[in-house]
Amino acid sequence: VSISVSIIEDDNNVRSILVSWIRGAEGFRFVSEYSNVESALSALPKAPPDVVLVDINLSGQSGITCVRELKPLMPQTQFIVVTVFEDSDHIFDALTAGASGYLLKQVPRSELLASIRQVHEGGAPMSSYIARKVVQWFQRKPPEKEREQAELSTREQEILRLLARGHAYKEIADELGVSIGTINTHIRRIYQKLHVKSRSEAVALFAPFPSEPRPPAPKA
Amino acid sequence: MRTSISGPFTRRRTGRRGWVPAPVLTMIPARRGGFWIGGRQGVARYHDGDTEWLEPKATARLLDVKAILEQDDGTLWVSCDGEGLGQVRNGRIRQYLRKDGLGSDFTKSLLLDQDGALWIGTRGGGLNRFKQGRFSVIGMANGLADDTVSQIEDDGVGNLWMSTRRGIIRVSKEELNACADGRRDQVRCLTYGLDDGLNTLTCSSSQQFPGCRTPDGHLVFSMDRGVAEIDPKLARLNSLPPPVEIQNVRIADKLVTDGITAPGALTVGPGPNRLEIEYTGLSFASPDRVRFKHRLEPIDPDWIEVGTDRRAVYNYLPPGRYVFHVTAANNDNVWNPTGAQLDIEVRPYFWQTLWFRLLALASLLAVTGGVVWIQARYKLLRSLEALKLERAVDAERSRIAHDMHDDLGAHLTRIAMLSETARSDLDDRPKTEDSLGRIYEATRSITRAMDEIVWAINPRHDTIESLISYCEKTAQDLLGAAGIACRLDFPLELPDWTPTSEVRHNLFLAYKEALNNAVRHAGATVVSVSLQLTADVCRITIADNGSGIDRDEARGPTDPGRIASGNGLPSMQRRLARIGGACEIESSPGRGCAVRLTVPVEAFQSRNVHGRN
Repeated sequence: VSISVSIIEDDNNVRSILVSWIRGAEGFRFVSEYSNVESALSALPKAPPDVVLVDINLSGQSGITCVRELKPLMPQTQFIVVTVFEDSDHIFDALTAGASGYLLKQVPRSELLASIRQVHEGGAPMSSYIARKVVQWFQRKPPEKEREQAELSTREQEILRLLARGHAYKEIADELGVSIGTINTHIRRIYQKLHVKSRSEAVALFAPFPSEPRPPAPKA
Repeated sequence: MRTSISGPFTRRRTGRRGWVPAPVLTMIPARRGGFWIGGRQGVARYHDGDTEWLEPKATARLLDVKAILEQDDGTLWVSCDGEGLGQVRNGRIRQYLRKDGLGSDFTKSLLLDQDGALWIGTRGGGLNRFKQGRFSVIGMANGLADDTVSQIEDDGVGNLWMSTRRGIIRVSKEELNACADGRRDQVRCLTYGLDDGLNTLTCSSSQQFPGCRTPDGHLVFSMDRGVAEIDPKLARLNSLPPPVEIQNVRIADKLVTDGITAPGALTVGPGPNRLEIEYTGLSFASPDRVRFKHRLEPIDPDWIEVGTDRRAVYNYLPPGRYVFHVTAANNDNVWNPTGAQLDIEVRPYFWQTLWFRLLALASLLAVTGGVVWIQARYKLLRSLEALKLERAVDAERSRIAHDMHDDLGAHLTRIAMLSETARSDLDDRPKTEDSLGRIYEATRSITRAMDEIVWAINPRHDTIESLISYCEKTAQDLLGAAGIACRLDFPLELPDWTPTSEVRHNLFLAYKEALNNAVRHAGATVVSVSLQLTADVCRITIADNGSGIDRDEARGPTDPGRIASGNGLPSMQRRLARIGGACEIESSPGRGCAVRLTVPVEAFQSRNVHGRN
């Protein structure tokens, strides 16, 4: 079973190279390409692929917006943000928006394909810096009713702490006496909690007083 | 009936004894007996019931006779209302008119003076004098009260009294003669009017009645409402000039009591005060007729005659010294030659004084100078500041240019050369693959270098958090690629520090150098990076478990804490020194190596470290 991949990238050269790499690879199936967020938003939910590669710095709406809009519509699809420079802030923003991983544009073809496959199979890359950000993020006081479902478990906190101290996945697996797959699962769950928390915070931001009675509508 | 003797006279028989022309306008006794009669038709002598007429001639017409006067030598003067003045002498008639110097052709009255001068009163032409064949005119322009003189009387004590339409006037003959001779311009004319008991001002407009003097010297004038009798002895000229005295001075309507400090001296306080001076002239004879003139030096160029006004008002006197003069004349126009005077000093406001103005000018100059100096200094400082900033920007720009040249230029050159080699070696597949692989590596290096430069330049990353995250990422990249375990120890909460681009860049490059050293030379299996933030310093420690610094490479004994050299260590020290920090290396063989990069907190807290080099 091959992995279906869509690409959202506004640079034509980069996009055609990425498309050719996917097309020529065993076990991958290229399904669609988009040069802007708007066309992807209208077309992608009709036929969700397995993985979507999204450029962060798109002209017009940003790739982060795109992930935030599409992820709730297609929860089974994994989003991987692609960026030229490793800008940690943007990457973290993309992760909270719903992305499951990130890639640098200059990675070799083999590495790119491996990363896509890894994410598709449940892997979740997380650097020590991102781990630190995640820890800080969850330490902020969450809204009361979201507390339970957004709370990190002890094991998750432990994994994040090790990540933040610079340990590799394999070291963590050895340390905790579990498999790397388990670590990946934990991290994938951390990402999901990040999305949930991010969404609930967005709701809290835009509708801060939902219980407040509305004023009666004027009579026509 | 007797006939006339000779001359211009003819006896006119009228057929009736005693016929006289009607109406008779004037009449005087004639020296040869009988009377001279004047009327509308001419002049005649009435004698013994007969009349002899003065025959008019082509050159002389004596009509409407108002007055006749006969001199001792027989010369007869006839004043005619419209025909001037007639002279009859030695049988010859001569008529004088305006063209001959008379003030008017309408003459009304005559008076012969003891010195032989003939005074002629005219209608509208003033008082005329005929002396030595010449007429002189004295009129209102010379101070006479009226230009019409109806009756002239001599009071025997040196004055002529005349009746006019404006009352009875008295003028000294001495002054009249002086005026007629041209020795003086004005005569002092004393007027008697209603105040003096007259019931009318207007004299009788008809003819003169001569000899209107009573034996005791009273003068009688015919007026339109009767007669007026005057005792000249009671109307002596008042020759006593009235003493003048300044009585009250008011400043701003307040009576000054102590303002007059010395006799005739007054000081007025500063300000535009209204000054009012009251004065008086003492005269018992006729206080109401005391007249005044005053003068304020140096404002008034001349005396100002103010009549009977006893008050001088000055609304505003500028600061300065003045002298107020006032003098008075009595009812007979005799002026007090000395009068009274008042020295006035108007004190200035302090700001009107010279010293104050000088001081103000000096202050103004000082302030202006000060302001100019301050502005110039401010400008200088500003331009210095701008220059400093410019130099800082220049330094930053040259640093960026330098970095780009060193980091990117070398890689790009390499790519160009490798591409060329790969093209020439196309047939040799392994060589081409090698070239392409090296091109790929060079490109990745360029991308990393670009990433570092962009990160360093972008002011968005002027935070300690960004610095740490970049260090973290670099450590994982470098160490992960080398298969060396990485241990990080960074505080979770980071302070709000603002390291500038220069600080971040230098610190990061030194840090990267330390990492590279650990990877390349130490043979380490674990590298730990830690960050310590104290109140004074920020310290990054890169420690490895490698072989430590080799003795041969170090410059001296391998004492702990000793600064070593080699392996890029001087470059780390240089970079730290640039941002005011220090680089220490602690190492002993077989026990690894620790590089400590220490930067004072100031470098993280101020954005004004541009000038530091």
